[in-house]
Amino acid sequence: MTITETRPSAATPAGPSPAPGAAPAGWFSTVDHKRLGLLLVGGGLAAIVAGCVLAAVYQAPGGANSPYLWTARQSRLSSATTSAALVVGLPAVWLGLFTYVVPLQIGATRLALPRLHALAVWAYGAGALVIAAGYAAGHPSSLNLASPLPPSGGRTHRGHDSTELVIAGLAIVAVAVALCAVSLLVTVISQRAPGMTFARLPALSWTATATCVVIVLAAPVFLSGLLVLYVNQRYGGAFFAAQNRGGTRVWQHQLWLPGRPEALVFTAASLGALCDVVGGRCRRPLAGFTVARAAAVAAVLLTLWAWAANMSVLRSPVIPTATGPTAALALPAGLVVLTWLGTLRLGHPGRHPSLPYVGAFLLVLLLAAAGPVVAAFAGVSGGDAPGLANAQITLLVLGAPLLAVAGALHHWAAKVWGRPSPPGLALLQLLLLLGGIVLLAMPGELVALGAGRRVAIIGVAGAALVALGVLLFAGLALGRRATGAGDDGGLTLEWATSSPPPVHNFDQVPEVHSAHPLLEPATVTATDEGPRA
Amino acid sequence: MTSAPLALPSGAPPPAPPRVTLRAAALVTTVAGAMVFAGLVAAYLAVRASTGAFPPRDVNFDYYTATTLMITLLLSAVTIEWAAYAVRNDMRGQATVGMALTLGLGVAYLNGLTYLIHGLKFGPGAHPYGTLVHAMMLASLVNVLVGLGNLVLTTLRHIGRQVSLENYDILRATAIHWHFVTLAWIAVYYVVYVTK
Repeated sequence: MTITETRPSAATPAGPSPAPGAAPAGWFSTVDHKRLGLLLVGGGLAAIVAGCVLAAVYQAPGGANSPYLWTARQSRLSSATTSAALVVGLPAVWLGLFTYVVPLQIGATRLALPRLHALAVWAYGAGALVIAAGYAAGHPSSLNLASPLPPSGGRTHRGHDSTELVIAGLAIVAVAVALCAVSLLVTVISQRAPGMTFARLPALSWTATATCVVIVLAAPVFLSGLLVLYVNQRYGGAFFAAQNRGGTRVWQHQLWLPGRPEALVFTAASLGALCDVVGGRCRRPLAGFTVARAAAVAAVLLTLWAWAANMSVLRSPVIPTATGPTAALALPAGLVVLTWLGTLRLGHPGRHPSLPYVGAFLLVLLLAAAGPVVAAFAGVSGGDAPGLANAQITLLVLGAPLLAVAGALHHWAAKVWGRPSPPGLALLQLLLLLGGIVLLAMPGELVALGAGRRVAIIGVAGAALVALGVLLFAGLALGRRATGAGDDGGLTLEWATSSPPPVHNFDQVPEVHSAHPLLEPATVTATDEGPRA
Repeated sequence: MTSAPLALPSGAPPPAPPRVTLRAAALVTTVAGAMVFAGLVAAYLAVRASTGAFPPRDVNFDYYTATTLMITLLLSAVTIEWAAYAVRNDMRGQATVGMALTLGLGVAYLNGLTYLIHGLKFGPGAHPYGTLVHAMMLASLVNVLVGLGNLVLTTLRHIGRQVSLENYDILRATAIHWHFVTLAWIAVYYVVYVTK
């Protein structure tokens, strides 16, 4: 199939150009980074909703004696939840945001490898469908990636089709994620506008670059773990049997979600995205801009230390922050928060709906830090109480980055959805997401502290609230577009073009002279408002 | 307002992609590929460190075929560089010969690797060692298939006169990946056949 890209006609008038392929078929052949980003965001949000529905179903009162001593059906649903929400959904939403915003921020007119990126996006969708087919087809075993120990006690059942389908789907998703990261990295390396040096990249672009580096290093290791799992499963091996301690190590470092850098990388990337939200909404450069940017990047890179975890993490109450260095990412996070506070004090933030999400993100981080402390005082460790680890994963791996990406989507709503976020809708969504995440994590914490199985119903309510909150994005996406509205979000380059941006982003490639291009005396814009002072 | 050139001047040919794009893509993809093998080697070392009899006693080592495969790939690394040199110096005939030789050596490697896998006297599910060795062989097989696909496309483009000094980066990117195929096999050879 040949994918063609429509070029603008001669002397394009100022203002947004009509999107090529306005018909639905255009979405299948598009190589426009904005459409590809929207496909990823939409698909990722749908996967998160699916994950929440599954979480509600498996936590619903059933025949088990405890919410964390499940029946085989509940175990399968739990595994599917992890795959849908954490392995497929959340990375897709973040990569979609990066795909949409980063080329605009660096002044690029397109992705460096648009066809590769399109291939990755569709492969991502195909992989997700294969995973869903695997779970629908049977009872996949050995696949709960949130479990710190390989569930298989002995030799695997040979030729288990549903398990192999799920492994194949996960492998396709891992390849797609890696290809998206490669495409974004090469775009940042080769497509920056004249004068847009690395030192002038905005915080989101820097953290997106660092996140892509982490993904390029980590996703292939996950893939190698899946390859071993597949060969073992396909030929009935005993690689992950209890007597093979090496197999357990391989599981922990290459397959177990919190043992891999991908678990916390989007939590760390949230810092960069929210730097742009705070700076943009205060209409001034971030106080300590260089420190904030460096700290956000350091937090992202620190997630690589997740590989250094060993078996002792099973006795730790802070399982998702498996090692000292990964727990130490609280330090750069603290530095970034200080720069936010300084910026908020010096600037005039107004009442934009994206700002409360910053507070909610911090609140969830604090709750995630408090949970293990309480558990440690109560003498409970993650190894004794799997519910505690699940609660930590819910808060740190799902909750915090989900709130951050929701805030970021509201910040860039004019760019992404074509109209600014209605404050009421954004606030309602914040309440649903924050309340849902807290309720979703609560049963795990309570069970660890000795509560009975009845608390599981709280988790059902939490999952339902998160699903509802995410579904509200549909209201934004399907609402009427208001060209040019909400065009005042910040000092970075994406705000120098119209909302939504034209097909080729900038009718004239902007020339950059500082890290805050819109503070420069004149910047070329694609709108008919003229240059922005 | 600063004067800035139009990004996409109407009627003019599309701007050539920056020269760095393909090389950067090849390098980043190669790093990703290297991490797949790094993960497999790490798994091998982890299992070896925790198992007494490693490799198991029933394992046979076909050093002859494995070494021949390494020499084949080293030769192909030379021939693809020959092709690259020829393209840089506008020697079309030599470039064609260089690419054809690389393709031939690549197919020979693929054939030898398949033979080596079939010759293993243990199945993938026999023991953890078997699982890991078969996983590494499978990864090498996929790697060379991707490399050969790349090479065939570049050779076809060369035959269609689309590879020249101006767009030499197409061949350079292919060569970078082909060198990775060689290095990945050397790593597997070193781990499985030398250090065991």
